[in-house]
Amino acid sequence: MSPEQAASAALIPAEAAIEAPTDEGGVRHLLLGTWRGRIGLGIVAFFIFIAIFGSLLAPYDPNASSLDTLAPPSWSHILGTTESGADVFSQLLVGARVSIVVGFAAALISAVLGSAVGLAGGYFGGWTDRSLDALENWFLVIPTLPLMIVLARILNPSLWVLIAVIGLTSWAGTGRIVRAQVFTLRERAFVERARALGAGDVYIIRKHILPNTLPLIFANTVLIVAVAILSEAALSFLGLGDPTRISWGTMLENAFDSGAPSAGAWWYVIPPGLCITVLVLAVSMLGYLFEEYVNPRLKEQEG
Amino acid sequence: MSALLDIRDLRVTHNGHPIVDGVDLRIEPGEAVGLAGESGCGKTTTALSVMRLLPSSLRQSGKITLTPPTARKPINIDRRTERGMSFVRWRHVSLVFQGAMNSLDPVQRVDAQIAEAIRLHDRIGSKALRARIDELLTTVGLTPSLGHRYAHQLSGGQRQRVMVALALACSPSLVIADEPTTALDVVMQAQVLQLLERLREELGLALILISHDMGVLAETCDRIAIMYAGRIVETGPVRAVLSSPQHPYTKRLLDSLPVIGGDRGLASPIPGAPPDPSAMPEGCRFRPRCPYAKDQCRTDPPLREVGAGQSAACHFAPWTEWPAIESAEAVGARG
Amino acid sequence: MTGRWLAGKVLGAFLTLIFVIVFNFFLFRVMGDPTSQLARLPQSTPQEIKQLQKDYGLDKPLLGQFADYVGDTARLDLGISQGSRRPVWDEIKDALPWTLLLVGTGTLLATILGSWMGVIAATRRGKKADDGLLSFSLFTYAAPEYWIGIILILVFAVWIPVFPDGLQMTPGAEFSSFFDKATDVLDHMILPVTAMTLMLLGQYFLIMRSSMVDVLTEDFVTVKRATGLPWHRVVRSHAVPNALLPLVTLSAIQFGAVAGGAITIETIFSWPGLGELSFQAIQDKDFPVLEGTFLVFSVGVIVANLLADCLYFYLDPRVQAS
Repeated sequence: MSPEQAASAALIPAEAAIEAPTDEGGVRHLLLGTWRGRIGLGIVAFFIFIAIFGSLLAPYDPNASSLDTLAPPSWSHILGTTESGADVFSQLLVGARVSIVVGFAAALISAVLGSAVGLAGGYFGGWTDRSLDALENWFLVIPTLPLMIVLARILNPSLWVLIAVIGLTSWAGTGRIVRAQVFTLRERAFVERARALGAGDVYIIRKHILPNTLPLIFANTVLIVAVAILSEAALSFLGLGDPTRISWGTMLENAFDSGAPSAGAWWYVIPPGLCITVLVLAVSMLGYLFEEYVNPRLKEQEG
Repeated sequence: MSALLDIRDLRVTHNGHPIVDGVDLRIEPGEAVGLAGESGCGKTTTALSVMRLLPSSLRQSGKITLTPPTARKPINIDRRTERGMSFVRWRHVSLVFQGAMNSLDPVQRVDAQIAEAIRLHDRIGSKALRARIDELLTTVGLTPSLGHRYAHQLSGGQRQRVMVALALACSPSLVIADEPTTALDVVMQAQVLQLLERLREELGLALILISHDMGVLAETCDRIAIMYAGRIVETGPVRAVLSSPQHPYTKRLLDSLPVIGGDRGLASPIPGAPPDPSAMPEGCRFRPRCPYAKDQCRTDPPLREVGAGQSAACHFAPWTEWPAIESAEAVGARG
Repeated sequence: MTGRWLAGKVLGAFLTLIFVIVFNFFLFRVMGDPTSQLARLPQSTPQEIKQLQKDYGLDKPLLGQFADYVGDTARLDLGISQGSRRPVWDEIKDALPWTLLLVGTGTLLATILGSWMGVIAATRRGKKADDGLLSFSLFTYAAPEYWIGIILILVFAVWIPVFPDGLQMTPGAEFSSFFDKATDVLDHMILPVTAMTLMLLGQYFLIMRSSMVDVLTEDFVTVKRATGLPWHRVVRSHAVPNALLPLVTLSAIQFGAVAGGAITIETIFSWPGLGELSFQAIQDKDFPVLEGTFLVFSVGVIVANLLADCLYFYLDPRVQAS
């Protein structure tokens, strides 16, 4: 999945919602009342827990090597060992942190950037909008992973570089959605009224535009989290991850480099990818749930 | 002479809630019957039921018998399979939709669409087919060369005419026109209605004309049936019903129309809204909005003959004169 | 009129391309390793570098450097690979056909399968088939394509050794005919193409499903049914062609993802295409090659978008008339 695909998922059936409901009860019901919400929330919460406490829960030091290389699962190593004899299960637990941290941090950056661009372009229109729109379209057209690779390689890979690179390349989808919404809101009566009363741009944005756009941004950002997690995994797999940290992506990288697939070391190769898949599935499920809530037309179609 | 179309006790439900609730209707060959009522009263659903075109979420029951003059035996529409219906549709009954904006396939040329319909029911050589298409287009007042165009290249009025041409393609004996003039301006409206009238005369077509516009129905129909909340509440010769309505709903519908040369006050709308199918009121369905409702109205009034060919579903019909209506608040209070 | 829309798209593509070149220049020459510019020259010994820094470019104003850069790029002089010492363009030329083979086959299969699945799901909305297909698509969406590739190797090349676990041909083998060679390549192609198809399948499925659902609510579908056309023909001859139109434009969104997938999947299978080339360049910090492959990937996506626009233009009579 790529940011473009997440953006297109949001855009597929409909334009931005006009009236975005912001009632507390609604969101809570969504998360705890539907089985999709419960499962999604449960899984995400579980992984966040692992991300925080993984290093405490790990039975072995994930970096500790031993002579017992590429050993299949046993009582002492429930998921076997890596090519350097380290415990796969411990690495798996510790690796969650990078995925969660990079996923959420990069998505946050992307959300802020995308919203700022979308707001500026949508609200002010004219040349500001046209140039920002061109910039946005460029980021949407350009292949994302190659772009991230190029940026990450030039700057030397580290956790912060990863977060920055992913955040700086994934904002365009959010930007487009926000822009569409702001366009619609700008022409609405209550904005005209506020302007007639002498309200300044900042005030209008803060009091009228933003509250009606935040739910949309939020729903989209959750989907971007999923994209960010996949991006981090891909970059790590290609060797551009933080060399000082273990992540699920680097686990797959090491597994592949050491010939684990050809050696049939399924215990090393399946778990990291499975964790990525499950986490991304859960986050996406939540993201689509929020999106349906924010965009009533989507709900009507699937109903 | 047997009726062309005989609908007996048609019922359509959605999740158990009634959309059409026991409709009886008879259409004689060559007759034009209007079906009037507010949106949501079940007119379109009734029309689609005749052709068995309802979506799978709606359940249909009741007897529908079609006896076209060219058929050897009467056609039991309610008993036909989907495959069996494909021989009936368009050949004996066809449909003209409202709006025609998206009633034609956007990526297919207009003449191809007419050709496709004809070929489904007739073995016909390409030259004869071409001639027939040209003839149809000319009949509805379009130049045959327009057939080569796509739907979006035609004006609204032209598209509507194409829909009529398409509906006549297989020479059916019954055409159902669902709000055929709603999306058109008054001039276009008149032209399309004139066209329908002329075709009726020339081809002996029977017509079910569905509209919420009483004026349109008055012009074109012989008989009229008024629907409310899934039931027919009044039926009769169009002149009789319009000049002396026998049901409060019909009266209020007519009252809400502005009259040229009449009183210059604002037309009085009917307070309230049609009932939700999941919460139908007991007894007469119009009771909550009826200014003349009494306790008796808690029992269902049957549709019975109250005049020369005129029937109404009201306990107090026949009405020779209509008492003054109380204020709207009082009506609401009666609930 | 009709040509103007197309001309607009071509112009847009050209401008995007220009921006890519500017971006590349900024990234690699200004931000990146300046000595990579000198790697464009056959000699690069330390002493000569200092001399060349004076003679070539680096003391020129930025605009001059840029002009040189554009000129070189236009002549396909993309520098010298720091890994293999060959011109970058030669490396790309050798790798490109393999990537096109992989990506082309994968996209074709994904489009056909995904669309077919989408039609099934849309016509059986809410039923088990729909739910099953949705779950399947969501899974392939979420799973990293290289992980799927690894699992394919594990299952079909290691546990049940049906297919080779990498490369595009059996190394060192002699082939007596083109047909034999082609069969060998096909044998090696199956797993990587499967990985690529699975990666793209989900998106095509979702788009087609959504598009079909929209089309099936249109009035003309009811009218077609009313004319007596059997349902399967209504779907096949009228609903699907209309649903394909948004598919063409919307699926262009994932051309970028295809490039990313090519990189990771080729790496897994040691498939000698642009992706594998990029991977090597990442390991070796071979900036000229990275620059070159990024350029080619970008051009590829831009061209693919343009082709999608042209296809849409050809298919939709409403656009042609406007």
